[in-house]
Amino acid sequence: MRILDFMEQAMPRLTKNDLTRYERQILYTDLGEEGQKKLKQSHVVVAGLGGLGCSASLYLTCAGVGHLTLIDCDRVELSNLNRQILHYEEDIGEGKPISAARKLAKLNSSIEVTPVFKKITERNAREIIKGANLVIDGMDNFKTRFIINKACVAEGIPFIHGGVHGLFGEVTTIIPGRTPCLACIFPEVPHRKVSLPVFGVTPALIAILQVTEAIKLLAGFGSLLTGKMLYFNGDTMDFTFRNLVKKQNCKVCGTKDV
Amino acid sequence: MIEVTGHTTGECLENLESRFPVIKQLIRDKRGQLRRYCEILVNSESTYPKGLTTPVKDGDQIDIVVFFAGG
Repeated sequence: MRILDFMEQAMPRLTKNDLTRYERQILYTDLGEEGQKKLKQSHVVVAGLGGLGCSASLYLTCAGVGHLTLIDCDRVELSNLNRQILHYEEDIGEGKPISAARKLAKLNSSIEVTPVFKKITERNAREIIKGANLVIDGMDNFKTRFIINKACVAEGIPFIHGGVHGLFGEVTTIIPGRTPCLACIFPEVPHRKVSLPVFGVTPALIAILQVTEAIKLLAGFGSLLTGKMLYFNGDTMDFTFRNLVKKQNCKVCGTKDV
Repeated sequence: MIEVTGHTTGECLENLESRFPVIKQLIRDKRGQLRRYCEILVNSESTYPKGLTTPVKDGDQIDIVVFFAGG
């Protein structure tokens, strides 16, 4: 498993600047300097630089994750700016990964940010995520999510799923071989191409939950949203859970024929 | 929350659809099968693999879950 492979590698050194910048989170005993080194050594792919991906990559950058790959094929539009907080008016027309990477580089120059202005397809998905320690779901459509889910299962890379609709959101952490994958939960890729209602606050909240999962997973502490989906209802301010079932006949991760 | 009657999740769903026909369009395909991006839960647990044949008893809570696709 990728996460274990990289933990066994030699840990990077924390510089004086690192110790100052991350002082307040290093004080959290379960993270400490060892956990911070693991974050520094990590490579996270953020797939999609919309509402989820902007907030997620912002907090991954703040936390000191050493290498981020940002991938999206869309350009910034005015209608994105209610929720995609790394894109500004001056960025309209620019590729989203480039716009986002520029802001993140100013926020934390000690990490590496690689923008990839490209569409995720069945053909390139595995190549894009290869070698990463985890993938954050920042996508805005069913089809690409399922492509990345399949690639993560094939590469054995954890995938932190997030999705939103209006004031509702969901999060789960998928670890190939251990937990249900996205295709276990929803075996069919729905064919819907409509603009969904989204407030800025919903993807922001869901993305921060995804990054919370990412930090714990990379640094190796805490309990994760594995095998369960967390639902957020912003209308009633309810958080609920449901257990997920790994399907033996799942067409992506199953062990039996469909 | 809406109270429905039935001995299985399928019967309960049919009872709900008879009272709120618009729900049927949202969760069934043209053949009347439950859309596969919808899942039926009983007391927050998945009903897989029984699905709509899952028995239910008085007081059980049935949820219809859909996939949130936005980002």
